[in-house]
Amino acid sequence: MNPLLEQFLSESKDFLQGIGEKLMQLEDAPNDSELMDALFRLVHTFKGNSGLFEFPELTRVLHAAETLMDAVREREVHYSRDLADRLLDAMDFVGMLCDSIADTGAIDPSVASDSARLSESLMELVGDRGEAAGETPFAVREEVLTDGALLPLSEVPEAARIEAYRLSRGESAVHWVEYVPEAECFFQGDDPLFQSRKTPKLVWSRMVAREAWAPLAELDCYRCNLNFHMLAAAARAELVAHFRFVADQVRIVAVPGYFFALPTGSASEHAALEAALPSLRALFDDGDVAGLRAKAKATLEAVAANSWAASALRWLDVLAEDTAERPKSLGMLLMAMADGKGPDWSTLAAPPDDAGVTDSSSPLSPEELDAMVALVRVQRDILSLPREAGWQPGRIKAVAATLAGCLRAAGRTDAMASLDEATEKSLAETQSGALVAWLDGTLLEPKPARRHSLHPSFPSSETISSSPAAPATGASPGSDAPMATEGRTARPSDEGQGGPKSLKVDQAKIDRLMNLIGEMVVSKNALPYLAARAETVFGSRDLSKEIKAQYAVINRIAEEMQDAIMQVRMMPVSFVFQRFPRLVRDTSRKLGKDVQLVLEGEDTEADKLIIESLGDPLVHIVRNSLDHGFELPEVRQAAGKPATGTLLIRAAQEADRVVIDIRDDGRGIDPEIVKRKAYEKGLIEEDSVDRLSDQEAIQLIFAPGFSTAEVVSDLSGRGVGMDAVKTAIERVNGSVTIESKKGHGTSIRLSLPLSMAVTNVMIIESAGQRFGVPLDSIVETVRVPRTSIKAIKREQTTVLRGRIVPLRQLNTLLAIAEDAQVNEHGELAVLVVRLGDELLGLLIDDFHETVDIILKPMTGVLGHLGAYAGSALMGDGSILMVLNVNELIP
Amino acid sequence: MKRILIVDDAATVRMYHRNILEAAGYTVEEAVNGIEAIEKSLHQPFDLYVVDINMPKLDGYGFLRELRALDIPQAPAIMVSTEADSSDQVRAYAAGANAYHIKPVKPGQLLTQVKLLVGAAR
Amino acid sequence: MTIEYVKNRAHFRDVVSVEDAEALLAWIQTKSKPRIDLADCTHAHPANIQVLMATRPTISAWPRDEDLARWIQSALASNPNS
Repeated sequence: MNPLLEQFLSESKDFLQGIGEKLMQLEDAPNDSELMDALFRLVHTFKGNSGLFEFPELTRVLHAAETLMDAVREREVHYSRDLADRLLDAMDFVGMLCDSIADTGAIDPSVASDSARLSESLMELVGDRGEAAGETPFAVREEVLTDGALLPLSEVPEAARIEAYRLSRGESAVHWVEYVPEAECFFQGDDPLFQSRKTPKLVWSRMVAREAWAPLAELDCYRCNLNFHMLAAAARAELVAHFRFVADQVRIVAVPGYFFALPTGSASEHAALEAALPSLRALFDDGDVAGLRAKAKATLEAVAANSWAASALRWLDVLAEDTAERPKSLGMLLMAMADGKGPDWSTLAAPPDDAGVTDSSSPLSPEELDAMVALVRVQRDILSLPREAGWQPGRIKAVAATLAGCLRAAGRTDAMASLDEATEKSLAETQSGALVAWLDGTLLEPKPARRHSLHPSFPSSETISSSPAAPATGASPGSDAPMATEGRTARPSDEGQGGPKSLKVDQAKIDRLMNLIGEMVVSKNALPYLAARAETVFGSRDLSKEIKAQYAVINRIAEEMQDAIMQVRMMPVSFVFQRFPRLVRDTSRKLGKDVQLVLEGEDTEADKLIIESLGDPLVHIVRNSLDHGFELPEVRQAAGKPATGTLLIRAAQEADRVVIDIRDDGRGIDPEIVKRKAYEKGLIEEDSVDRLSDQEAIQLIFAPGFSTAEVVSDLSGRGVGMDAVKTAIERVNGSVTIESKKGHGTSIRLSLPLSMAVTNVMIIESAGQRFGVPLDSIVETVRVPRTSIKAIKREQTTVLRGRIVPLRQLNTLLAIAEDAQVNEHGELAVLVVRLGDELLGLLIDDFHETVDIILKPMTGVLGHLGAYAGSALMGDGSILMVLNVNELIP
Repeated sequence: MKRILIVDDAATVRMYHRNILEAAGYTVEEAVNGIEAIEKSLHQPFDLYVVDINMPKLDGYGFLRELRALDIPQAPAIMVSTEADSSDQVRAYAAGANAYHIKPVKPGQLLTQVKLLVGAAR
Repeated sequence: MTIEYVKNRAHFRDVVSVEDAEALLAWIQTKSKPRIDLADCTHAHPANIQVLMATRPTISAWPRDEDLARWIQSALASNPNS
């Protein structure tokens, strides 16, 4: 498979997981905008990545999801359960597609309709916005004005129109810019006025209300009701670049110059104009432009300045300026003057003079030209940013390199020398002035001095000045190097610390470290033997002492190492818990139940192996609870309980154990039904049906082959009962207890060791052999006089603290044909162990010390020997067999 | 031979940019964070940098500042980010970027700009 | 606060931000003859200008920033209600 695709697929798993999690969290906090943002970003990035490949079915769904999440984030659509459902469905579908891509490298075309259906179901929620979202109208349509009546140009003051006309006679086209911000734009942080004020080369501008203002009481000042109208003498590409973030709200129309020539004013003075017209016409027909202008000026003095006639005469003067010929426009204006209205310049409409930034012989395509204009403008803006002490010269050089690239690309190598010169000057002055001047003079059109244009992406100077300020006094020319050093050392090193401080390590490496430490722990145990030998065999008590002292040191270090590696392997239970929100939500929904999940203590940590082994049992318990525990909402209400049930999963550390409680407030377990079922299944004798206490009866659900549900449902109880849970938990030295009250709910408690890497065992002796017994299954060690052992039926028992404890010969259980030895006082050694809730006394020969061992499970042929939990290597090199007390009793 | 350095911690993105640029005939090298990028640039400066913002150790801004403070031939830098926020752009430019793109960059757009900045590869 | 309220006079200073608009609207409604001094204003978020457009208080001084003055004057010259 293509490695890029492989990468994408592996990342997509993380995305799907993340999206699922965030959606679940959002369900509890539907107004958390940070969550919404995070969710949007996930979907957004995922969609972006999917766009790198040709999987339209996949991208379509993600695109719809992105649009929807964007709308949610912008508060245009409210988060709802239905929305979450649809999004989850969509993500499941996406997961399925990813799997299919992973398996076959392609997507089955038959899913196209599913993709369309899911996308539609998402877009349905987006509503109106959805229609626009299908395609982003990025590029503003290129428009040239062909009919003056289409724009309210007559509302532009004459002086501004004259300026615009004159500018359009020069190099630049003049554009009408109409910016209609979205009503909600203030909420997105837009400042359309600021954006408009920064429009490059503004000639004229105004701000008008879009609709009549609402009565004050109802006025919403945060709904934008403003339109912005502007005339700008900047190139189209510049304007598009400036407004690119609001491209869909802006209309940019090139206005050929003559459209500005509209006489406006009161209709008085028409007689004076009519009187002057014949001589004006005559001058025009003679081609005497200078005479025409003189006559116009003379007539102008005789009419009121605010009249239409005066305006027309002024325009006559303007149209005639700078030209020796008699332009067609003059003739049209004269005709209009006779009519007292017009002229209709649309008859003159011709392709606009799209004066470019570079010369027209440029070898660049229009797209490349656009890209270059944008690039050059950015460089100019970079130059006008506040100086940066540390890297200003580098920044200038980089801008120069960028501009040089553009020059080469545009075939303007002629300007190379002057660029180099300007760059040198800027560097010497550590000021960008010279380069800016060069830019304005060579690549960009001359700017009107009164407007200082900033790049659209520069919202305000405050944002920029957050970077380190330039030194107050100007550094001497050519002092780049020391400045650079100073800048670097003085800069706060914030950027280096941004990354996460955690490290991903291959599991195998941790395991190896763990094994090595285990071996060391065992090896160090050889030292006490050595000390003993030093004394007994070599007779050196001093050496023995020294070895013991060294041993103490090594022992401490080894213990710390062990502890450290345990910490590395620790994982929070959230690793397992994270799947439950979705599980509970989906399952309860499917069952028509209303269940609220409460997770507590997700930060509780335990060894990776323990955490991993928790997953399946927990899922089973939760499913059971949803399936059998919780009642339908109506039933709950009828019973006087809230319709919504609560499922609590809480983890906590208690001493060296992790305790997990799963508690529901459902119908609880009916001990009578359990007893009856157990009897029917032959799990208990008839006589014990009445004898069993309620709590004892409830424990029966852990018995192999027990299932309380009448019908094996789709969701749980697929023939696997709670006994499977019990077995799985006991496999990692854990225990399960259950409490239930009919009508009030059930509570299940899992208790697990924090870690199973090191096991604390007591060494015992039986039939001349040494065995290990895990300390956590030992209740106590007692020596019982032989006389205190009584036989009840065929069982041997003894009484310990008023409680009858059954006794068994360990030898018998291990099929060793020997009796336990009695010591010189006529006592038998009894190791009392816990078997579930029962106590059992094991008759053995003797007790020895307790040791920490690294338990290695039995493998191969010996693997099936359930009586042994595993073996361990001892410090003297011998092997210790460790008993599995729970499996000892057949 | 035009050498371009892609600085990005995401392997997918590096591969994506590499594929586009190599297909157009440019010579591409990669760095997974700003530190590595600085080391490579010191070794042999590049003709163009394509830089991600969010990276461990030294991010895109930090890398550009360091790069611009080095006494080596300076080449244009294109910053590529998932952030459409204008303040990120300003920061990028202030740090020493010469162009800014939002991920994923359209191959055509990237190539147009690269061609303007360093010329065609062949 | 970038709008200073003294009796029936609101004084815009420097950059008046979007957050100020709501308070401005509320303030204007409590005054019978509100007067707005824009002289020291260099930029006002359009939400504030909308308030001025809709409520038409007396402008006692236009911004010294000519560009801003032109924009605000153009806004107050348009009147869709009439």
